[in-house]
Amino acid sequence: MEAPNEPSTLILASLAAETRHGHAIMRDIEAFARVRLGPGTLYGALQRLERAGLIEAVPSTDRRQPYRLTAAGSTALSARLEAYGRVLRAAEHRLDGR
Amino acid sequence: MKALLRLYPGRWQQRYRAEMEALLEELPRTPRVAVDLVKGALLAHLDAEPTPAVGVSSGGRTAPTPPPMTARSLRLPEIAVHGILLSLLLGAVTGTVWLLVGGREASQGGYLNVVRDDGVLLYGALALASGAIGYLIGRGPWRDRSLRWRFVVIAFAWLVDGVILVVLGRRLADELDPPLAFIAWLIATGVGLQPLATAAGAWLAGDRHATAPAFPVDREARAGAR
Repeated sequence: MEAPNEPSTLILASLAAETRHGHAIMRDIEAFARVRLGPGTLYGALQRLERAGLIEAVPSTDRRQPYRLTAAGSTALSARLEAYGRVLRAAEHRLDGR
Repeated sequence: MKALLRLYPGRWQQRYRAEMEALLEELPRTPRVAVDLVKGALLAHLDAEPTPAVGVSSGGRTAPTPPPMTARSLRLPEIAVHGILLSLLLGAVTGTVWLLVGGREASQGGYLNVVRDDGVLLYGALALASGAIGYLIGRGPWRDRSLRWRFVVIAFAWLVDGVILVVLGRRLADELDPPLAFIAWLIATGVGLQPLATAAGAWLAGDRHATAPAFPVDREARAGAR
């Protein structure tokens, strides 16, 4: 299971709200996760997500290419959140039991 | 800063360069950004999976979609770049280890004699290791793995190469000073058998175009969305 702060998860979470271009994704992730992605890291993750069919480019006349979540991307994000939730619930349960 | 985008593979530039340039115009020019771009370029070269086709492009122009790659259309220039980069890095690691372990004791360290003495064994072993690297990058159980796994494979191959060199290092003849020997070894391996063997291994691997998400949950999600 990838960490919650793994770039691809952060990007999926950012695009879950709305369609965004690269710089908007970077700003959004920095705002909600306190993680500053570099441009190389960002586009490496965007490529992998696009290749996996989890995000897609939106037709645009702007040089700044916007991206949006696909149905598979929404499902994948939900699956990851569920996995993180199981870990969190297990950790909380164990802490409560001490 | 935009010049660093030239370090990326051609297909990557065709797909992402325009929008990355737009992004870089909005970012400060800092060493951190430069390092991240160089790292991203290196990873892009090491990435065996194809870059997504150009569906839309920046500036409202529709760029031509790259022709589909056949099973043995291996992006040989990219693989050659992989091989050279890997070989140079391998040379830096193993050469340094050799100098520290064996070369320092030699009055005249030398790799040149390898060519006529132990050359067949040493370079043959290095070439086989490089071929295995290329094969594992291109195929094998690591094809659908993340880049992290591929780096593990490459690092393991470097380690094997390093052990081979260190073991044989003391047997190497003494014709050059260690610094010159180090450079000669870098050149010999960087432009010699290793890149070719890497490319050959990848070529033998054949089908490099099966794409699979890196994460099991993503794979399930994609299957469910169909």
